[in-house]
Amino acid sequence: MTEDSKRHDAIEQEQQLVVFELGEEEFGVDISQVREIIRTGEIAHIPNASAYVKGVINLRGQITTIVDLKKRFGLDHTDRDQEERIIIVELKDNIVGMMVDSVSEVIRLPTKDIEPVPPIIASKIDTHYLKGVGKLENRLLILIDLGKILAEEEMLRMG
Amino acid sequence: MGKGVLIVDDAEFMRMLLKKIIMSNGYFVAGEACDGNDAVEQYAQLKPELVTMDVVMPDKDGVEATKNIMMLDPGAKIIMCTAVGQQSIVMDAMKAGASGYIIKPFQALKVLEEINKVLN
Amino acid sequence: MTGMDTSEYRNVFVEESREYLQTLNRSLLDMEHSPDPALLNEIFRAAHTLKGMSATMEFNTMAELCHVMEDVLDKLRNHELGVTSGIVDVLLNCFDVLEAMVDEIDRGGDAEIDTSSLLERLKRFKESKETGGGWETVESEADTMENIREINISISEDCQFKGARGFLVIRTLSGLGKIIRTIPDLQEIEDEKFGPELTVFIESVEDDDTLKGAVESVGDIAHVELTTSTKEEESIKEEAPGKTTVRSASSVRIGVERLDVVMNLVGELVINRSRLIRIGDKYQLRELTETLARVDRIITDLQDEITQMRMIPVDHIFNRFPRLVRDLGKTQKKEIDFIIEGSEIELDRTVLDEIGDPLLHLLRNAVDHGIESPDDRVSKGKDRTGTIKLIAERERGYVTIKVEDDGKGIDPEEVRNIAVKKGFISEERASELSDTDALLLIFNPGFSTAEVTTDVSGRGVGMDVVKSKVESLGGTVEIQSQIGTGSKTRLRLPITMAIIQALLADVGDMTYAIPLSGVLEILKINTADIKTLRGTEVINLRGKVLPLVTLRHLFGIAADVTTESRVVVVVEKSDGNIGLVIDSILDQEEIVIKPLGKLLEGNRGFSGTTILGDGRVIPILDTTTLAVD
Repeated sequence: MTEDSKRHDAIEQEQQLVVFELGEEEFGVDISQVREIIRTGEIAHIPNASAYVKGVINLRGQITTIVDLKKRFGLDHTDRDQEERIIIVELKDNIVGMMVDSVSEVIRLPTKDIEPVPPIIASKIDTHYLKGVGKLENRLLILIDLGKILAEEEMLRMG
Repeated sequence: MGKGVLIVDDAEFMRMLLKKIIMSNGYFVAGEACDGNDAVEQYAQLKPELVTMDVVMPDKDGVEATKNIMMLDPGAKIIMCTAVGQQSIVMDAMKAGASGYIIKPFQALKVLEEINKVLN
Repeated sequence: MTGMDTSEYRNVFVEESREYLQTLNRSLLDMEHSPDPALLNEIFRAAHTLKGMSATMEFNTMAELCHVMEDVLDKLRNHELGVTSGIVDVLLNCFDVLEAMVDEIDRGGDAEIDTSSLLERLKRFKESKETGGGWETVESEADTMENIREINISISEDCQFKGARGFLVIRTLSGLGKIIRTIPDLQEIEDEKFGPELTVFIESVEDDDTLKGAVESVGDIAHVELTTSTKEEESIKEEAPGKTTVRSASSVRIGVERLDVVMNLVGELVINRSRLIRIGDKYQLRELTETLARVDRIITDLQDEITQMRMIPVDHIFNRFPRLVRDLGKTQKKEIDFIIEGSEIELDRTVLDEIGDPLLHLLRNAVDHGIESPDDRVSKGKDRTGTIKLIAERERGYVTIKVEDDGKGIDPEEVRNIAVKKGFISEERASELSDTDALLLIFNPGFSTAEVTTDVSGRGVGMDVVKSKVESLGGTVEIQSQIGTGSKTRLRLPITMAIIQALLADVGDMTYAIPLSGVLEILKINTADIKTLRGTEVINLRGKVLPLVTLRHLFGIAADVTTESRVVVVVEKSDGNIGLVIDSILDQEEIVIKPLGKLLEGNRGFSGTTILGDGRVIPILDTTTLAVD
C-alpha cells in the first residue's frame, strides 16, 4: 500500500468535531453542521414555547430560534458567564442556535475511537440523542445527533 | 501588536521560509500547521490575525480548510500560498473567502506587500 | 453582456417586450385604416425600443429584425414610402415573428429564428433609397443615474492570477455598493479573459477615496481611476454601439427585487425613526420632536408610494383559476359554476406571489371534497350545479380572499374523531370543543382530510401548509362550514407585507406587539370590574359580556398586586370579541414583521417577531389563536 492510499484511508476514518461544554461534560458536533459560533446577546423569550426553547435572537436581521441544550438534556442549570456561546447550526432548511457553556476547541477523532452509546453511561443525558462516545486520552466526548434533537422538537410542536 | 500569523504548509522548508520572511518584518508567528485539519484546529485555538494557507496538502486541502475557518470566524484573513498554474484552485479559494494569495517561489517583498494589504 | 447580467433582466425584458409588441400590433391594425402620423410614430418608437432592448440583451437576430423594421418605418414617417396594405402585411409578419421570439426567450432560449425571408421582404421596401446604416443610440431620454461611478482598474502586468485579483476587486467593491455591470463580465473575469484592464460600474454612496482605497487594498493593482455617471453613458456608446439602456421618459421599469430593497430600507428608516422619537422624548428636545413630526409625514408618504408601486390586481393570479376549476370539475364529472368577484382588488406583489398555491389548494379542496356529484346534489334537493366562489374584498388594512362552496360541508364530529385517532387531542378535550373550534383541528400538520372525504387529487399539501403560508405573510385563516350547505375559507391578508401598525403592550417585564388591525378599542378598567362567569373572567361592556384573557396568567406571570388598574385591548375574533388584559400600553408604532423560526412556527398565539428601535426583539401576538384552548 502506498503512502498516499494509506493517508486516504485515514481521512475516511476520521471526523472533525467542534467541542463544546455543557456543565461538566464535553460534547462534539460535526464541523460540517456548524455555520458559525457567536457570543450570546439578548434573547427574547417567547411564552408558551417548549421549556428548552430559550427564545429568539436577531442574527443580522434573521430571527433565529435558540435552544437551551442544557435544558433540552435535563442538565443542571448554571449561571451564564463570559464563555457562553451560541453554535449556529444548519440542518436541512432550519437554522437554529444551540446555547452551550463554552466552545473549547476543534479536534479530529479517528472513527475507531468512537464507540456506540453504552446502555448505561456516566452522563446524565438521555442516550436517545447521542450518536456515540468518543474516547480521547483521558476524556470522554459525547457526540450528539443534532438531527434527532431538532426532529424531536418538531414532533412536540405538532402535539 | 496583533495576535500573529498561523503558517499552514505541509513542507517544513516552506514553513521555515515564510516564518523567516514574516518574523524579519515585525510580525510574529502564532503557530504552524502541517495540514488542513491541523490548520482549522489551531485557528480555533490561537485565533491568529492572519493565516498563510498552502493549497495542496494531505487530508484536508487548503480550500476546504479555508471554508471551515471562515465558518468559525467570518472575519478571518487568509492568504493562499499558490504556485504558477493553479488558477482554478486560487479562484476556488477566493470564493471560499480567502483575502489574497502569494506565489511560490516566494519573494519576500511580494509576500510582505500582500500581508500588509490584507491586514490593512 | 452575458451571464449574470442578462439572466437577471430576462423577465423584465420579456414582460416589457410584450407590452411594446401589443402597442405595435394595435397600432399596425389601426394604421391600416387611418395612416395617422401619431400612430406611425408610436410604431416607430416601439420598434426602436425593442431594438435597443434586444441588442442590450444580445438577442442579435431580434435586434437585427427590429433594426430593419425601423428603417422601413422611418421611410414611412418621412413619406418616402406610402402606407400600403403590402407594407402593413410585412410589418404584421414581423410582429408575429417578434412575438414568437419573445415567447422563446421567455422559455429560456435566445430567439435564433430564421428571419432571412422576412428581412428580404423588408429590404425590398427599404431599397428605394438607402439611408446610412449603423445603429444610432436612443435619444437622451435616459434618466440621470445618480451615484453611479465608473472605476477603471489596471492590474499589474506581472500579476499571475489576474482572475483572482479581479474577483477580489469585485468582492471588495460589492461590499460598498451595488455593482451595476463589469467589463468584461464576471465570468470572463474569473476565466481571466481580459487584458490588464477592468471596468466596474458601481452604484454607491461612498466617496471616491473610499472606493479607490478599497480597490487598492487588493494586491497587484497598478492603477485605479474613477469617473462619474455621465461618462458612463458615453463610454458605453463608444465601446458597444447599440448596447444602450433604454428608458422611456415617462416610466421606468423597476424589478420587484429592487423595490424589495427600497421597502427594506424604508423598514429600517421606520425603526430608526422610532429610535429618534424615543431620544426626543427622553431628552425633551422640542425642536427634534417637531422636525421628526415632519420626517414622520415624509416617511409615511414614502411608504405609501412604494406600497402603491408594489400593488397589482389579484386578477394576476385569479385568472388562471377558471380553467383549473373547469378541468378539475370535468374529470370528476361535477357540474360547477365558478364565480370570481373583486378581481380588481390590489395586493402587494410579494403577498400575491405567495398565496397562489394556498388558493389553488383551497379551490381543489372545494372541487374534490366540497361539491357533490350532480346526482347527489339532486337527491339532496340542491341544484345540480354546484357553485364555487372566489371573492376578494378590501377591509381596512386587509384584503380578504374567500373561497366558498355550496357543497357538503365539513362534519365537525368527524374532524374530532380523526383528531383523537391521530392523537392530536384527548377524547374529553375534543368533546369540549365547540364546532367552530373543532374545525380548527384540520390545520394540524398531519391531519389528512382524506378520511373526511375522498381524496381525488392526491396532493401532498394539507391545510397546515395553507395556514403557515398565510401566517408567514402576517395574515390569518378562518374556516366556517355547515353540514349540507357548504364551506367558507377566509384568508385575511395584509395589503402590504412587511410593515404593520401595532400597539406595544407591557406584560410583566416583557413587551409584546398587538397588530392594530385586529384591535377594536382600548379600555381602562379596575380589577373590581372583572366578574367571573362560568369560570371565565368577563366584564360588562356597554351591556354586553366581554370574555377576558389575562396575558399575565396565560404567559405564567404572577398577577400584578401593586395596582388595581388594568388595560383591556378589545380584539376581533371570528367567534366573538375578546378582551386582552395587559399591564399598560407603551406605545403605538409601525413595526416590521419578521417570521418566527421553524421551531416556533406552530406556537399558538404568536405570528412573528419584530425588532424595535432600541434593538430589542419582541413577539407579535396573534390574537386569533391566542386564547384558543
